[in-house]
Amino acid sequence: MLLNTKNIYKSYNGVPILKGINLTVNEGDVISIIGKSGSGKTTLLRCLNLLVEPDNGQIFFLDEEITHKKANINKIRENMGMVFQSFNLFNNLNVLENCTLALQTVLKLPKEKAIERALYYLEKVGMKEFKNNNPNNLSGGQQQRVAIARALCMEPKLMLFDEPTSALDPLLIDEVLSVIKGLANEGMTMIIVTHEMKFAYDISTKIIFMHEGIIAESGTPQDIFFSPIKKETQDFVKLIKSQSFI
Amino acid sequence: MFIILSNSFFNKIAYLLENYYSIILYGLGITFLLSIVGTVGGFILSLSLTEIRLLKVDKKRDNRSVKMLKRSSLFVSNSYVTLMRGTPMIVQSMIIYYGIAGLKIFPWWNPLTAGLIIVTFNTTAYISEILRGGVESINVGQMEAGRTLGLTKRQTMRKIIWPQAIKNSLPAIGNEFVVNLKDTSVLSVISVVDLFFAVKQAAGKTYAYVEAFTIAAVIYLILTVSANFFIKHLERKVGQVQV
Repeated sequence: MLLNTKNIYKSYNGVPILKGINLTVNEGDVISIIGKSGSGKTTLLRCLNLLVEPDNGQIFFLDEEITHKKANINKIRENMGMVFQSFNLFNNLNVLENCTLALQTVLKLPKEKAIERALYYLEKVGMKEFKNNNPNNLSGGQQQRVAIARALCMEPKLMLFDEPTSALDPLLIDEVLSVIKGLANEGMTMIIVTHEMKFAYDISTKIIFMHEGIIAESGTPQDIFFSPIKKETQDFVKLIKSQSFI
Repeated sequence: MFIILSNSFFNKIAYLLENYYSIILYGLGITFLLSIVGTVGGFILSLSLTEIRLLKVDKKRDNRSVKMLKRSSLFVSNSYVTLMRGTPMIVQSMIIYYGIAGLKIFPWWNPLTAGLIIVTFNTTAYISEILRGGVESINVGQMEAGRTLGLTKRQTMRKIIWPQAIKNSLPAIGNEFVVNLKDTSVLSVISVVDLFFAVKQAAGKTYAYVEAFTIAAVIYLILTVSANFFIKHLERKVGQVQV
């Protein structure tokens, strides 16, 4: 068991967003979190690496309680990569420096080693030739691929994707999805919040359907998309199918 | 020492320049020195001041003494900025210069030293306000990206946030320099021999007030216009401002 949450609660200004989340992630899992906007998907994902501090409940990662107030958050985050909806590449650094910064600052790798590793992962996402570019001169899809490489450089045990294609031009979505698919095939453990249902169906080992702050239903892609049990899930799937995403 | 002056405006200006150029040049040098030291010194001090003002109390992870320390630092640093920005520099000059002179413990205390300190402390407060805005204007995603890679808050600030915030703040900091070129004239109230004070002396001796201060106006204008030109050049060189 890689990650485990117990009864996560979170509210903003008295409005409950997460109402008791229990989630287990095993090594090799590819978990997609789906659901309507406002159901708490992104908040849940951001709780997992403590970008959002849960009000209540516990999170265990690599057998350590990371919600404990003495836990070393920085150390924990080294093993948990995150890819954001809006890429968040460092604007004052070029592509290569974006990837080497944490390797040199956090892992204290010597410069040559850091560059070597960064180039390896940039090549993997097909961005090696852009290593000297400024992030602002890249398309959204290219920026997101660099952001994925940057996270991979830390060689994390778990990758979190927060709607990685939501900010992209439809024509650029596929290049990012195929990179993520490649990672899934290599056995990377990941949690993906997404609105790309076909993609979620194709790559996930498990789908989590969230509704109003709770995990309404979870199961294999087959279960969720073809024999959902709960009414909310059925409605959601029906809606998606009517839009012919699957 | 009465001197019969020519009646013509330009002749008086020529006379002033001829006879008082050395003190005017000296005053110009002091004005320049005050502005440079004030802006550069203020910028350096404001980096630390702004770091303190940006402290955040972590309710869960800070222990009680850290919380206390952070809260009192925040109070002191914010009060400093309010005080410096909320009172005129001319009033600050009087209090600091005569206050410290009255203590009679620093034999080296003189108007110029006081002036340099006052303009630096004053500019620190203004630039700190500029930098705070600069840091807060950087997208929160930059900090989040740094933190998720395992960088500490301090590392992310130093490597990611500050470089962008300073770059974006350069035009406003340059503007502080231009403001200082003009506003250091208030230091003449404690007898700092800056451009204003020098010209006033020349004027007092010749009674050619309009002519003398016309010279001052032209010199100030040349200073500010060339400073603006230099700042524009610097901005272009540093590159396009990005948010």
